[in-house]
Parts: sequence; structure tokens; C-alpha cells
Amino acid sequence: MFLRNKTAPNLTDEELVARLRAGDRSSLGVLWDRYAHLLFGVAMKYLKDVEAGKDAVMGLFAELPALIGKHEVKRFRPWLHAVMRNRCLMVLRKADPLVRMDPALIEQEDQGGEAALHEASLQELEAAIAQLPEGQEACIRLFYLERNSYQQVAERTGYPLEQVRSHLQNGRRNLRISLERHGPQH
Amino acid sequence: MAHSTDPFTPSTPLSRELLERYAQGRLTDGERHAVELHLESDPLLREAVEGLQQPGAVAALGHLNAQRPAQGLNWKWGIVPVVLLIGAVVTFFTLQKHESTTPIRKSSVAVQDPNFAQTMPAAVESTLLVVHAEIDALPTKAVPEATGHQAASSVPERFHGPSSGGTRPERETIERIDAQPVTVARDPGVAAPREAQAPRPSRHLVFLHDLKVVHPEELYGTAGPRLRSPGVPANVDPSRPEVVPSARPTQPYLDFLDVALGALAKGNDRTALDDLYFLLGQYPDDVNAQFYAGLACYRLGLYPRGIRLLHAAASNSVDSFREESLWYEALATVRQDGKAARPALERIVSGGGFYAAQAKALLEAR
Repeated sequence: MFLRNKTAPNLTDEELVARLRAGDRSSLGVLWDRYAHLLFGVAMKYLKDVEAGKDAVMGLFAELPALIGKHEVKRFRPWLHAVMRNRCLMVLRKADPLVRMDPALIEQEDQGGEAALHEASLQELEAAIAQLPEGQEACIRLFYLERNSYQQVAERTGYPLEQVRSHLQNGRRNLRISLERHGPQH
Repeated sequence: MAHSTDPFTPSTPLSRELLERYAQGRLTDGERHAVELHLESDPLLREAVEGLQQPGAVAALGHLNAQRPAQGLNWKWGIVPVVLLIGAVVTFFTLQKHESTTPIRKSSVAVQDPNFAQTMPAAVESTLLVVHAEIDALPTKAVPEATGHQAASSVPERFHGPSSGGTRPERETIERIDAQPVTVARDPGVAAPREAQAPRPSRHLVFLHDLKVVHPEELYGTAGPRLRSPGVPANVDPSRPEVVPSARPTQPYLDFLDVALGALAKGNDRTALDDLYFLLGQYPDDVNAQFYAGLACYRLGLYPRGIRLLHAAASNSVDSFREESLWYEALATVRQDGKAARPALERIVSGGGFYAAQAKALLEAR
């Protein structure tokens, strides 16, 4: 019985962080289960090296208890994402200080609230979609309303896959801005 | 009033297993859309998927999990370095033994060369060791797949189905493929008609040994990077391998590929694979290297590795190899697990492209 994991797996990230900060290192395993594979993916995106990626994940988790002791973490998920990304960029710069990081490489966190999207009525949504630029409108309709995958959207529109993703990102942001500007009509 | 079916909210939770299968391209269209709904609202997931789609990433997750901190037993976390040390020692002796019985390494990538080591990512070095071990571990009966093309004709039939010659292992899936007209009488890059539904942007292509190559200006905006030559430099004294020339020659990108694809055209898949992995180690998104390395793996019988590389080529933003990659990925899947290949073959048939008829014939025979 003493080997049994007593950490409730359904605790929120922030609750686990609070436990970890209080010295309960068993929370670390649960956070590992939730995030290690995702953080490894992030590391692979930037470092493109399996061993370096594994090192980055293990290094971050080894230092996590100390890190959360030093920083106020309100929303753990985006905070952890930012920490891993910064570590990867540091590794790249250490390997070659002359490397200039392309700002486009660093995906920005979506700062806006998503509530407007989720609370809009179908009529409001239709009206906002109709105002989008052509490419964004087509991709938004095919992906969100007709439930096509990226690949299917690319095949049906003729846009390359990357452009489909770009149209979806920009279209979603523009939709949210439009819906927020006009406010709820109901 | 909010509409009852919010199209922006994923209807199902995203499991790790589903995410891995997505990264490997093993989901149906509906499942892919469900995952992609999560990606659209989560920057962490988006970046993670991009990384997990890198060759070898999903496979490495298993090794990563071995490092998981134990729950409730802090002393186990401290054991990790000890386990790693033991693993490193075992790996070292295993590789030492492997090296002494594998002469091919001595004539392949010169990992002992300090100049080489400056530009050769450690991952490439270790990947090549693993690839060589995988090749060596293949049953000898699978070898004719790689050499059959070479022996078949003085004019290599490079893109024939891998079973066009030689003896095959007694496996039902392979026997069934052999019975099918999977032979492509010409290089897909040379003569493949563009019948796919998706229009493609025209790209600057060149042909090396009659094999299609996307011009480096399409990939890098220039004539392409200069690459250090893989292998042992010509001016190394064989009797004194420890003496390494100070300056290692570099090659233009296309010259480098010319050598690699020349080896592939002659059926020297293993040599070609070494060179292409060398390129991938520095430019993992290079679609030319992804596709031809995947093809070499397929012809060598390294199906899981080939599938990963071909999938990367098929989903590369430079989509010049998409049709070919999907086809050979499907063929590799057939050979690895016949049942799992059916959805991929069906998609090729429904796409109506160059390989649709062959995919249909393959499906009907199964």
C-alpha cells in the first residue's frame, strides 16, 4: 500500500502546483503524465533533435519544484509552455549566438478571450463569417461548420496546408474581434 | 441565445494516444478533425504536434517515459541518474560489439572525424547507428528487395514496387502485393500526370539521375546550403586515420543530392540513406531528403522508419512529393500490417491521382 499513488489524478494543474510548492513531490508524476509528451513535442519543434528534446524535458521537470517556488504561476499550462519555449531558444542561441530568431517562429499565445466565439448565436456567427476575407471565410466554413480536416480543407480549396492553418488562425481571431465589437445581439 | 452546437468547442477529450496517432498520420478524417479542433484553441498542442511530427519523435516518447518521476517515492527520482548511467554503460558495450562486427560503419559516415563532428548533430550519429543496426537485424531474405532493382536490368527500374525481383519472405501480405501490378514503369516525378484533386503550386523542379528534386531555391530561397561531404575525406591517409585534414570540403546542395540519389539510382539504398540522414540531421524539413530517405527505408525493409519519413514528406508544406509519399507510405503500411493500410489505400483511390488504379487493384486483391 505504501507504493500506491495518493495524488488524485483529477486535481487541476494549479492544485497540483500548489501541492508541489508545499513539498508534495508526488504531484510531479501527475504533471509529467499530463505534459511530458507535449513539452517533448515543443522541444522537438525548436531543437529538431531527439536527445536534446529529451534532455530539455528532463531538465525542466528536475527544476520545476524550484521554479514554481520562485514564480507566481496563475495559469500553469501557458506558463509551462513559455518556460519550455524559452529554454529551447536559449539552447539554440547557446549553440550559435549569431543565430537570429525569426519572430514568426515563436508562436504567440492567444491573448484574447474566447468567450465571444462560444457564446455567439448561429446568426451572429454567420454574419461575422460572411465579413471575413475570402480565404479565411472558406477555410472557417469548411473546418468549423462542415467539420473537414485540415487536409480536406486544403484539397477542397486548393490552398497549401500551411495557408489553411494560417487562414484558420487569422479567421478565428478576426471572428472573435468582430463578435466582441458588435456585442451580443440577443 | 447561444446555439446548441458550438462549432469551436471539441466534443471529445484529447487523449495522448490519439495525439500520437495524429502525429503519425493514423487517423480517419473525422478523427483528424476532432484533434485539429483542439489544436486550433491550444498553442501548446499546436507546437507539440509540430514537434511530434518530426521523424522519430513519437518513437522516442517511449524512452522518455522511462524517465518519469515516480509518484510518492522521492528516492526513485534520485535513482534516475544511476539507471541512466547503467544504460549508458550497457549501450556503450553493445555498440562497441556492434561496431566490431559491422564493417559498413567504417566506410559510411565518418563519425570519428572531428571536423565532421562539428557539423554533424549528435542525433544523426545515433540515428545512423540505430538504422544500421535495424538493417543488420533484417532477415536476409528481405535483402533482395534492395538489390533486386539493381540486378533486374542495366537500366534501373527505380520506382518499381519493391517486390519486382528476387525472392521474398514467405509472408502473405508480401505475396499478395507481388501479385499486383504495382510496377510503375516510370519515375513518378518524371511522368506522373497531375490528376489529384488538389491543385498544386508550380515549383521549380530539377531531375538528378531522372529523379525529381525540388530546387533548393524553393526550400531555402537560395541555391541552397553548402554541405560538408559525408563519409571519409578522400585525402585521408588510410594508414593514419587519426590524421584528419584541417579543411573539409563542402558541396553545393544539388551536388550533394546528386551523389545521394546516384547511390539510390544504383540500388545502393544503404549508402543513399546515410547521406540523406546526414542532410536531414541539419535540415529536418528538407522534403527531398524526407521522401528519398523514406523510399530507401522502404526498399530496405525498414517499414516503420520509412512510414515516418514518407509521412513527413507527404505532410510537408512543400507538397511536390505528396502523391508519391502517400503511395509508398501505404505500401510500407501494407507490408508492415496489411489491415492498417486499407484506409490509406482507399484515400488514394478516392483521390483519383496517379496511383489510384494501382491502389484500387491492391484493395480488390485483398
